[in-house]
Amino acid sequence: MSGLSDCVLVVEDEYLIAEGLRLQLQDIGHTVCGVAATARDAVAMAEAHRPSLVLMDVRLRGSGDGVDAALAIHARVGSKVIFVTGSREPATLERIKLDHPAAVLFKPLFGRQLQNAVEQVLAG
Amino acid sequence: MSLWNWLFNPSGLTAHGFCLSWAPGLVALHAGSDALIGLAYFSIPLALAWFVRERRDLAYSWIVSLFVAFILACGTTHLFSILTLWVPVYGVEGMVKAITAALSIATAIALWPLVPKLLALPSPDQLRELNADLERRVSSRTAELQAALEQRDLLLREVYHRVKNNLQTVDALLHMQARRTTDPEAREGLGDLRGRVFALGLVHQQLMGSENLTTFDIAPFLKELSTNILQGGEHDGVTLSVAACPLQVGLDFAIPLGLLVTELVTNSLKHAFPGGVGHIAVTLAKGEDDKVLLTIADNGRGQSEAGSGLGASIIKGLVAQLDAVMRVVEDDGLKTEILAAAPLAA
Repeated sequence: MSGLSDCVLVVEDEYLIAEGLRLQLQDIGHTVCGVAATARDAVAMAEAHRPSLVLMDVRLRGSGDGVDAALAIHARVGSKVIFVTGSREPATLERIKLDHPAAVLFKPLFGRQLQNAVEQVLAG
Repeated sequence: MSLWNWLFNPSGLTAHGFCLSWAPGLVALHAGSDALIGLAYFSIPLALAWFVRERRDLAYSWIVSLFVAFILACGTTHLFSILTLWVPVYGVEGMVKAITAALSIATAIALWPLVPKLLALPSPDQLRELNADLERRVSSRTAELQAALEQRDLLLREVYHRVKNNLQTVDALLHMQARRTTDPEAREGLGDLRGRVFALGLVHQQLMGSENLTTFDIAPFLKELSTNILQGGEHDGVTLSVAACPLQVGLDFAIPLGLLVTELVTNSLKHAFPGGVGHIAVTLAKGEDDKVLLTIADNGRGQSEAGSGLGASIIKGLVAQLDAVMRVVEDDGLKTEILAAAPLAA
C-alpha cells in the first residue's frame, strides 16, 4: 500500500500486554509508532503515523471497540489489521469478521506466534 | 335312580321341544337364538381374555377373568338350552346353570366394591393432562439445566481468559526484565522461564478452543509447543519432527507433560549441538496397558545434562507427579523416554 510508513501501531488497553507486544515487535525488527488504548486514539494515531500494520485488541477502554477502530482505519488509512483478542466467543468473532482482518490471533501470544503472523501478513 | 340317569335322563321328563308342541317355527326360533347367543358368549370372553393377556399392566385384571368365566358359563347354558329341546338332560343343564349362578353372583358381588377403586384410577384424559404437565416440567427443567451449563461454559471461558491474560502479563514482565538484564546467566534463566510460561499459556489456549472446555487433543499442542521452542533457540541448523498420537487430555496431564517437553527440548537445543546442526524428534505413542510413551531424541553429542540444575529437578519432579518412569539412553545422541499412565479422560 503506497503512502504507508513502515511501522506498526499497537492498540491494547492493558499497559503490560501492550508493552509485551511492543517489545516482541521490536525484537523482530519492527518499529512501533505508538500504543493506543482507546478506539479514538487508535484512529487518530493511525491517521498521524499511517502504519502499514495495526495490532488490534477488541475490548478497549472508552467508547467503541477494536472493530470500530479497525473499520475507520481501513477506510481512512488502509493499514492491514491483525486482531489480537482474548475471546473466542462467536459474537466477538462475528464482529471481527466485519472488518475482514488480515489475521486473527488469540491471547496469550507467546513465542513465535506474533512473529509468524506479522511476517505472513506483511509478505502477503 | 342313579346319578347318571338323573343327570342325563331324568325319568318321566320329556324334551323341551315337546312343550313347544314341536312347532317348527318356535323350535327353530329358540334353537337359532340360543345358538347365536352361545356363539356370542364364547366370542366375547375370548376377546376379553386376549385383551387382558396382552395388557399385562392392567389394574384389577382379575375382575375381567371373572367376567370371562361367567360369560363362558352363560354361553354354555344356552348351548344346553338347545340340547334340551330334543334331549331331556335337565340335570346337567341345571348343574351348568348352578355353576353360572355361582360365577355370576361372585362377579356381581365383587364388582360393587371395585367400582370406587376403578373410578379412582386416572382416566385417559387425566393421564394425558398429567403427561402434558410432566413434559412441561421436564422441558422447563431441561431449559434450566441448559442455561446452567451455558453459564458454566461462560464462567469457564472467563476463567481461562483471565488465566491467559495473566500469563500474557507475566510473559510481558519477564520479557521486560530480560531486556534490562545484562548478566548472561540471568538472561538465560528468564528466557527459560518464558518458555515454561509459554507451555502453561498454550495449554489454556487449547482448552479455550476445545468443544467441552476440559479436554483437548495433545498432538497439535505438542507440535506447536516444540516448534515454538525450536524457533526460540539460537540455532537455525536444528530441525524438528513431532509425531504424536491423538490423545484427549485434561489440564492435569497436559501441564506436566508440556513442561517436560519444554525442558527436554530446551536441553537438547542448548547442549546437544555445539556445531549448531542436528535433529530433535519428539514422539508420543500409545503403549500397552493404557500407557503412553513420550520420547525426546536428538542426534547430538550425547552427553546427559541430567542431575544438576533447575531443569533437572523440574523434570524429576514432574516425572514423579505423572507416576511415570524415565529412561535416558545414549544412542547416537541422547534419547529420553518417559512412560506414563494415559490420562483417564482418554
